[in-house]
Amino acid sequence: MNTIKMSVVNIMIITNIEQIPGKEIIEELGLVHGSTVRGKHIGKDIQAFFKGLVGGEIKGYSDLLAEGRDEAIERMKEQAQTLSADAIVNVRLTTSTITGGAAELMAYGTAVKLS
Amino acid sequence: MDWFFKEIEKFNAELAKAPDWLLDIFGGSTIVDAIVNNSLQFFIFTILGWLIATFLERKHISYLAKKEQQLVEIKLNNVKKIVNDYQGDSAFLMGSVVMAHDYFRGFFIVLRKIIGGNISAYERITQRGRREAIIRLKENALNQGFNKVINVRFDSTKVGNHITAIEIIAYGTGIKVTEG
Repeated sequence: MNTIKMSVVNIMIITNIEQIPGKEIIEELGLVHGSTVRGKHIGKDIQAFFKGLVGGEIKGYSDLLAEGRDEAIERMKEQAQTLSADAIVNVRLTTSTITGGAAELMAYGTAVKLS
Repeated sequence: MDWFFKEIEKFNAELAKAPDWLLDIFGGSTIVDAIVNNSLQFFIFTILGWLIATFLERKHISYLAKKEQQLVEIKLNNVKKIVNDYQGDSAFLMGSVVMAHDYFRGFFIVLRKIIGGNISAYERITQRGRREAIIRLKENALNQGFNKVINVRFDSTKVGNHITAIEIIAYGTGIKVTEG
């Protein structure tokens, strides 16, 4: 069941423009969004502190936020799927810091049905 | 000021009773010794950090220049309309990076904030981060077989608990165009 659901979610097309190239939008189903709050565990914080001494990219945080963002998009897709949408257009991403150690990652867009 | 020197003498007298291992950690047998030793270590530490950071920064900038040359055929824009002839699919693409400045530059930033103006330490990490994010976006496009990314947007947030780090993300819609 889960694998079927995943494959359905994966074929959903998302873009951040107001159309799907090569396809026609026949119905607008409304706003969908997905969000996740990610905290770093203390090991990553310590690692980041030492990396912060010399500067540059903080790989631990980069990976963590990228994973979080993928999850937010996945949740948005799941919500769109419950509306039986084929695609999501005009997707926007936002991030905000909740406290020093946690960030909220959010994705939102408009679910649509294609011809 | 008399009370201050009296306090220091009292502290030194207490320190004389302490075991050797504790004095080693503290950095000296009197408080003045400890301050001198510790600040010397601190100074060497930050200078070393600064040298490593400068080296890594140069390496990163040359890496960015090389990558930008390789990925020059992938075009970006930030308009929603598709002007050229396109073919095939489209997909949502992202590229993100978290960048931090080094510890040593933190002192310059503190001093700089007193008089204001351009804070070049922050400018450097945001510029490097943005170039890196674009490169990752372009690499994602290349891996999925797209040669153009339209409607590219940037977003950035402060992250990090005890360090100043900024997350920069670039995202857009990848398409395949027949020319230019």
